[in-house]
Amino acid sequence: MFLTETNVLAVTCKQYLVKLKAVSFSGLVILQAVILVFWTGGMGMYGASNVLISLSVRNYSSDIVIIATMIWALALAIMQTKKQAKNMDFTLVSNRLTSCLSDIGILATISFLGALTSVFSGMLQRLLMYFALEHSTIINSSFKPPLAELALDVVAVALYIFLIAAGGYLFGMLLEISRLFAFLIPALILGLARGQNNYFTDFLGFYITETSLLLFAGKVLLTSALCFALSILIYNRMEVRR
Amino acid sequence: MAIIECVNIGKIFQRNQALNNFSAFIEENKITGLIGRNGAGKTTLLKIIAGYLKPTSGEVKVFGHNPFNNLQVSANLIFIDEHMTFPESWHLEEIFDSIGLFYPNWNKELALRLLAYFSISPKQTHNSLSKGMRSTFHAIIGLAARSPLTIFDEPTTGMDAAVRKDFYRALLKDYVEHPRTILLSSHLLNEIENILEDILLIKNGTKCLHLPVTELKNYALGLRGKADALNQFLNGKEEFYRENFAPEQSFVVVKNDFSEAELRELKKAGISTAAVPTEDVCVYLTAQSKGGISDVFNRD
Repeated sequence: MFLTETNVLAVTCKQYLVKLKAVSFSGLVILQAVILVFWTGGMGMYGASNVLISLSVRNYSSDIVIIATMIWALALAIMQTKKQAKNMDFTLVSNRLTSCLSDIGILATISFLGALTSVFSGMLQRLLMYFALEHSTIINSSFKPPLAELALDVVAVALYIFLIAAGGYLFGMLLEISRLFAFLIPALILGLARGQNNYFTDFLGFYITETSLLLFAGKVLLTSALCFALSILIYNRMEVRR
Repeated sequence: MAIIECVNIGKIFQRNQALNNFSAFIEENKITGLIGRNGAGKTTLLKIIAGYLKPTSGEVKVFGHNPFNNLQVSANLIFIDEHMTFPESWHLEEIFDSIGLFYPNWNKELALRLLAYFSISPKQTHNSLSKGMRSTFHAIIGLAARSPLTIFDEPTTGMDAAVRKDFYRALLKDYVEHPRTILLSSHLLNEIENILEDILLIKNGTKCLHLPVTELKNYALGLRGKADALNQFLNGKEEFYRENFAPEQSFVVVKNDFSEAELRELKKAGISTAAVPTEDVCVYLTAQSKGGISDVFNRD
């Protein structure tokens, strides 16, 4: 006896569009720009010298930008589970499932965009140094951006960010059940990391030491799916707009 | 046909019982007013109907389905209250467009015309609106969405008298053109009784009355006269309110089930009768004690 019929996919897509418009990417851009400007000195530096020669080596990489992007994605994922964000869904047509699915869509999108910008910030860094330093050996006439490698980097970094976002989303959901998790989860992670056993390093190694991109993608997507499924299970029983 | 069916629903928040054995059936294409005191359970009931909250006991059906976490029910209703949330940076017009995505009957032209009438610029952001303007904006959304089930939870909070009047007129006009089920909660009954068809009175989480407004107008009768004379007539009558305002003089409100003969008897005994305004009936029916606030000050 419904007057208007709809389905999960249609509502999820509409929610995704609305959320995509509401997410502020300017925050990410500013964050990355600031890091690029302040870390142009390089990540690490060492040097040696004797009477005749002085040598100094600086490492430049986009690692720090990638780490910052990961933290940004983590914060954004947790924020998606907050009351304020959820109320926005339930102000219009929604159920718990579509609300979570559209969140997953958003997190996947920001993972990809975050990876793209942070990986290419490495190229930008190179370009900046080309103009900043006099000796332009950094980009010589035969220089070509290693596109295939960069694409691989983007995919791998996007997967890492997505994994972190999925964890953050689950953490945010647990926080909605009880504030106690705000202490319990970090305590658990710290405890495992500092403890005598190797659980934590084994856990990280499970992802980090994987050499096949396909297997790595499989591991990440499976773990993320598990996190999101748990989040949806938790959220399905929760009351909204209290 | 009942669009909303509530059977014995109860809702407990921590230790506070918000709803207790509440049952009601609300019919299609009617404007029903949900009236009750502060904390009577109005908002809780509406949120259960909207599927936001889960009742602790009992059964709710909206369009024949359990509304909790139901996408189809959600697609067929819109819930208007002061806590509607939209992205902070959006213009009002952008918000309108996003609503149009979800509600197929959405009439943006009407929404913009109403916005212009209430002198709110569509280029403002949701955050910059004053409290009354925000309520007006939400009410406009409720009107223009033309959702089969439209729930207004205290829609006029913060609106000034002129805007309130205009809103009720607009609601009635649009309802006549596009009949739909409307649930309106308020504690200002005298303002809305002219547009309501049914009244659902709620007291301490249970249903107190569910009547057409026309019947509520004749529901109670006020009697004024000597206390002794009055008491003779009150045997077996349901007494809602009693006030002793002068020595030996009383004003009593009772259920209006007097026969013609009884009314004539009353007149003979020197007791004057008066109709009781619906708003007062509701106040008397939902009062916690029969004497009203005066009882607090009468210590003897």
